[in-house]
Amino acid sequence: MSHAAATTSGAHGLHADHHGADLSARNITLDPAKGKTLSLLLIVVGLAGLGVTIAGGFAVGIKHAVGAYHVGAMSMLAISLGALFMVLAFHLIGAGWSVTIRRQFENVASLVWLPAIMAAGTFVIEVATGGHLYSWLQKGAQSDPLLAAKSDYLNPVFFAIRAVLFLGLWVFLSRKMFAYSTEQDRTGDKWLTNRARFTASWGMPLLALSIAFAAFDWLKSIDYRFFSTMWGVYYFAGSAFVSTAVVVMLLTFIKKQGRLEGLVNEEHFHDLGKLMFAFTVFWAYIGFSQYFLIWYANIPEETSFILARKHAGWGAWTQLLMLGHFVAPFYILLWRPIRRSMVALSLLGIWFLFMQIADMVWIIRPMVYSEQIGEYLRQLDQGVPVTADPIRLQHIWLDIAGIVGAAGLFFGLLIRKVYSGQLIPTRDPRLPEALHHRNYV
Amino acid sequence: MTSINPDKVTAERLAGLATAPGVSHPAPGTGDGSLVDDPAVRAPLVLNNRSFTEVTDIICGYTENKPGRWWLPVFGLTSTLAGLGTVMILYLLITGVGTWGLNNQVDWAWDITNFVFWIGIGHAGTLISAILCLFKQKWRTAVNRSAEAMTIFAVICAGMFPGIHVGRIWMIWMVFPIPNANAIWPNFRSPLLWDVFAVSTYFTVSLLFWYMGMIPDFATLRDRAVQRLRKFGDAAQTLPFTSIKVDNLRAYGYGLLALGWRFSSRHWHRYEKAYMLLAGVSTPLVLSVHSIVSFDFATSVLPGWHTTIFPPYFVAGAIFGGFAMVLLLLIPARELYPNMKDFITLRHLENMAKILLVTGMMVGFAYSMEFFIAYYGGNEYELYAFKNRAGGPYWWAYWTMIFCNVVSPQLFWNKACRQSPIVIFIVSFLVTIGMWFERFVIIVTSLHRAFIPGQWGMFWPTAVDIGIFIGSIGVFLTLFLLFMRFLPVFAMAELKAVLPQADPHHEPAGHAAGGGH
Amino acid sequence: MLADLLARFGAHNYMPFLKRPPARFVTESGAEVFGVLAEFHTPAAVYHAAEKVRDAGYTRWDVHSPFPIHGIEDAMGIKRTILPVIVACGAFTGTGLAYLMQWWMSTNYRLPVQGKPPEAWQPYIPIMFEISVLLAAFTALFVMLMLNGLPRWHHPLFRSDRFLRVSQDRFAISIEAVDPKFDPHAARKLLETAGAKTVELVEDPS
Repeated sequence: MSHAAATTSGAHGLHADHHGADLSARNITLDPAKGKTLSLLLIVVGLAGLGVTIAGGFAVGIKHAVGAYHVGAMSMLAISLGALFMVLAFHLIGAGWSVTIRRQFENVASLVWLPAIMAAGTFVIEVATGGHLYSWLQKGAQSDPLLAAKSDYLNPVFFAIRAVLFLGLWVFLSRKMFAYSTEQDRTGDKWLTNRARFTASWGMPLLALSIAFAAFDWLKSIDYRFFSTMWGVYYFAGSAFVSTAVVVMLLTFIKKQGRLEGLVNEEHFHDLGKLMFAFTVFWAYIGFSQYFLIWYANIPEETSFILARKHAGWGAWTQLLMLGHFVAPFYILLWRPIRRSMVALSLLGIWFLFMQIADMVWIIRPMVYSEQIGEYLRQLDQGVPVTADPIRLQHIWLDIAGIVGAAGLFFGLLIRKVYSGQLIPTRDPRLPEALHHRNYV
Repeated sequence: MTSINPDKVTAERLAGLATAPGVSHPAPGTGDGSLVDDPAVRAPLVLNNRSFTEVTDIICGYTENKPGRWWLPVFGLTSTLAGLGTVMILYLLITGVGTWGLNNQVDWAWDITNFVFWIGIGHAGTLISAILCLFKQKWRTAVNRSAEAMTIFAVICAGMFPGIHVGRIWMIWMVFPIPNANAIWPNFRSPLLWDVFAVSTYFTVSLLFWYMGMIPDFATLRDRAVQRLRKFGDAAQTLPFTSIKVDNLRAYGYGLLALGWRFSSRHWHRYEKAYMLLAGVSTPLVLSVHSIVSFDFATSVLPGWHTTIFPPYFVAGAIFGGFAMVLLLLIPARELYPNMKDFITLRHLENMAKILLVTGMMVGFAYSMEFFIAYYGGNEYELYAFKNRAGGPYWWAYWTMIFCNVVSPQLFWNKACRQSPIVIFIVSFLVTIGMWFERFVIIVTSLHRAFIPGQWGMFWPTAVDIGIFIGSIGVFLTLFLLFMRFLPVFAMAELKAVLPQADPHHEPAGHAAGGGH
Repeated sequence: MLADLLARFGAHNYMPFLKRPPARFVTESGAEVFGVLAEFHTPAAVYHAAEKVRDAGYTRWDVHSPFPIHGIEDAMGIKRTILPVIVACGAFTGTGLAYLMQWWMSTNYRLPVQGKPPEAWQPYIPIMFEISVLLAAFTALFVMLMLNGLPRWHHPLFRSDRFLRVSQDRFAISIEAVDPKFDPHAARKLLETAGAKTVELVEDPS
């Protein structure tokens, strides 16, 4: 009665052959010599940016320089942490389609040490200079009862211990995942996949906690009066958003050099495009929920955060984020042809990178001139004619230098990393699935 | 088993009494054969190498044949509970909300707890169908239909509570923007009004999604009934004491629901697109509905309620509680129904146990985040609210919640535990209890200590409170039993599509490597 | 006149009292020929046969399978459906309508509560989202059915006993007589060479 007779094995396996996929060295590696120039160029630009930032610190003020530097570091950190999350997630759910793009996520994640050290470096500078951006480090700040109430958590020693823990965890996880993957390239041991999954299983909860508390420490504590339980998720949403975008750009960059033919195709870009879309929406959901609950409950210690970003020249920036981080990408990515086009996606990726930086600027930069904003809001509140200087983007060159500094170093090292190894994990047991990946519906 | 397949061997096989011929015993250490640990091999989604014919016969058999002996007594019990709940609701409506344990201090308690509890359970159904569909997780086909059904029934139970808790239920229409003689409109700044729109949209969309998934399966049931009618003619089975042919009823009933579906590929093409689009809009819908439910609390300034993580935290909790409920229903079902273990394998259970572990840690993350920010925010009322939860008069509710939701799923770190149906069942049971207590803790402990000690009070449920809750469980189970009896319990078409032989490039049987593309 | 116009759009399939257009082929007994139906036993067989029918240039034909066969769109040459665009329109209509409804009702009946202005856009967002999803879902289901020409309670193919098995475990190709290239013998021949297990003529007596 049955037309389909039984196959002999209970499980249906995967074909061992790769159906003619080109796994030759020419297709899956780049010429390291070519990468060297580009990476050196970027690193020099980055160092120049950092130099200008330091000069700006003397010329304009240390607070502004530290703020600019911190924006750059936290933006790059978001890229790496997002990529680390994606690598762990791919392993946890046993994803097959993503095998050929996973190495780029691993590359980005393995650089997490650089922005993490840079961001932690902000704290060192702050401690050394007596606290500018982290105003809770200032002498006499403890007289504020709001700070005294949380001084068990927010004190330099515990802060430093936490920073070391985060750094250690991220570096360990990213190196471990990278090592599993490259070891599999060498040995072909398929069981490494299961070991990577195990590491991911305990790594993921720790990563979630560390991202949340790092976001509290390194971003939220800048305005120590403000608090929000959503904060960690907000930073995570942005990092997942930007890391996917960066990987799309990387893959386009590689494909434009004639590599990964037949290994990464528009089906993979389609799924990456969907991820970009999903993370745009997720960021908007988290961002809106946070804003909305603060707006609705209208409690002064929370609304101060929103008010500082609504008035004094920052209102337009908030609108830029709403439109650029959500509305525009949302409508653009609804289009299927865009999601399938690697050029369109990588152009959007550049935009996403700008938006992530803009988000960090939105969080950090108003606090650089927090006194002026405070005065501005006080006058606004009392209904007297506003005489305080509305905050414009003073000394914007310094902000650009800080961001270029971090981005130059990060992308310089990233390019070197990409050029130095294989572009895909060639002996992953799920490689055939990725090669046959297709979006039917 | 079915009148289409009268031969005895086949019938026994379909009844789960004998295995399919040529089935080699699963490799040792792989459980029922689905627990393959080799990363190069994908576990089979359907065991025993079922053919299209067998899949159809087994699944249609659940509705076409008499259910097991257990069905009627269980149905009697659950419908009695549902009846009890109805009586309690009538008593409430006649007498007034004073029959509940609510008071001036704790003016939201049991009813809203139940509302959030049920609506949360409903979310896993859409999650399994929609999000797993978007993620192309093929294993969803085993559980999506019953999970969607669960969604509908849970939302029905949930919708009951806001209705009856307004006290004057005959005024409930005023929550809708209906033109009226007083020319007044609802307050669109009220989160409770958003709830009305969110829950009714959710119910409608879930119903559409569920129904749309069933259209092809209704058509299958219709065609089988027509086949039998053509084959047996006047000899076809009739309803007792009448001359009405059962298959005539089926042909018309399922036929109307099937909308004339004729399995055309041109139709399938649009159907799959529409299904994907529905999944696409349902996914954010799930998030939005429970976020809006959380807004009921979080938009206020009450300590313990106003916290910005509430939206995603409620969503994670809903998924957590909902998956637990799916497991609570399906683990007994796969014992009671013949051959259901072929479709709901140990691997499916393990996957869901893993989701319980993940979402359990997510709610654990939210619990700790709330506590941390209560401290970090430096607001003494907020901190008091949380200290009061853990050490106040309702400490037992809080620690029940922590134990059930955060501690008990940690068992699933152990492989043997997450592969054992019994352990999964027990943990799911605990989680269901824990998730009920979570809502109870949030609602009651925050309300019973207001800012002024003169406003302090306690809440204890009355018999009516408890009776209505048990009644809602009865309604839920009764509807679910009816679903198992009369509707296609599995998404047959989708289940067939994930069989290895459904791939048009599949190599015929005997090929050692099979055909996993 | 009107009946002819309606018939052009296939309205007689839904309204049996309408006059049918004259049949192109009739059987010896005078019944109208709907088309031919070929039965296959595996997805692979029907997939390859579909490619042959597509290449033969037929336009009014269909593949029937108990589940959607992946990639059959290519084998049949089906173009992507316009459905997503219509659904997007439905969703955005919902967004706009929900905004207008809330804005109008809030400003028409001004409740001075909560210290929030009735015009504030923030509280409108949840309902705007819900109504968008509601309309998108309705559009997705009903426009899908409309584009498919459903619901349609009867169809000539249901006369075939073999066709009824398609809903369970068989695969079929039907070529309709309204296809300009249709010829009963050529179609049968094509399907037989394409590997059909059986080919039968489906009648549509009035």
